[in-house]
Amino acid sequence: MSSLYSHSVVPVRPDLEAVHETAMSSFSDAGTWFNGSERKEIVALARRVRHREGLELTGFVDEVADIPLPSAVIELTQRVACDAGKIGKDFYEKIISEGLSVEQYVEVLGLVGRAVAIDTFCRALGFPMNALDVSRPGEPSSMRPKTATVQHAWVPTIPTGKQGGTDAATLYGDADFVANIYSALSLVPKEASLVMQMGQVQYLGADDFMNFEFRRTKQFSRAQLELVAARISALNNCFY
Amino acid sequence: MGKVFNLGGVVDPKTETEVEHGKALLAYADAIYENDSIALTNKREQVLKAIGPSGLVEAAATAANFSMLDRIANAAGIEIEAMVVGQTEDFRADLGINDYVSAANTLGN
Repeated sequence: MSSLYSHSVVPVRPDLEAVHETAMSSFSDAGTWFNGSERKEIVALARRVRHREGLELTGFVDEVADIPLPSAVIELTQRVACDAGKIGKDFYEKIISEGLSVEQYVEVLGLVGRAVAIDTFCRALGFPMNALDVSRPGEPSSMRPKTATVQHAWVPTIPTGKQGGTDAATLYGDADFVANIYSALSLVPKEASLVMQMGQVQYLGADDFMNFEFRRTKQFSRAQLELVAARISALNNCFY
Repeated sequence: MGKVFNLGGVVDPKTETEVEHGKALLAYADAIYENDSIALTNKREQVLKAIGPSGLVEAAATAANFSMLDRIANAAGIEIEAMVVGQTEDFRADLGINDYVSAANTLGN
């Protein structure tokens, strides 16, 4: 069985390939608030709109299957995929007022964000797009963390430490501090966990955050890493 | 004291950042977000020549990561951690970052 990037002529780290394989598989699994076919459809829709924006992937195949999705999910998916830099609180409130639950909103953010990451990686290296799996059966778990509360985002998040109780211990381990970006999706712990895993492998782990000499390869310094990160964030109009 | 870099290059690619191969990396990042596949191929080749295949993969992974995190940050409406707000105050206005829509989540403007 070939691995995700076995076609590559440049060396893709095994941990990077593994975390992308996990993500690709997760898109077709039942989630917390959407089933597998709905999740796959959300990712396919995000890829379609990005392709139409001209962000081509080699061998693009439109995998949208016309699975019924609420109009708010479609609008949110399109905005997050292509125009997230212009999302303000008014947009968030509008989407929620149209009947989408905050939990569903968060799950869509995770799905689209992770899909865009993998597609960006492939586009950047000239790789062909990774096909989505056939959706797998199963019902959404509908598990909402009891401790989640609005703290430092529009959406509720699980607090760290004692306040977060077992929810925090399960998601954050024994960390006293978790960057707001990594708790952002904690209302849907499964998505938050997958985002954290990708962040640690694509960027760096919390233990290395203050290590300014950090480098995974001698050819790419921390300064170069942060330069690319900062430029991408500027292109995305991201204040954070 | 460590080496000082010029953050101006992040918002103005004509500005010298003092980061090794910074111009090639910035041009590559821009090309990933533009809809010109031929230009992207050229910029990729330039980065490959400058920092080699493993460096190229790390640059692509970084671009991928922040394509994910920026979307989540913007759409979840998260604030910057309080300790970082003060540390970045001196250059945010100069770089125009305070004008981003998502700045309101922290600055309340």
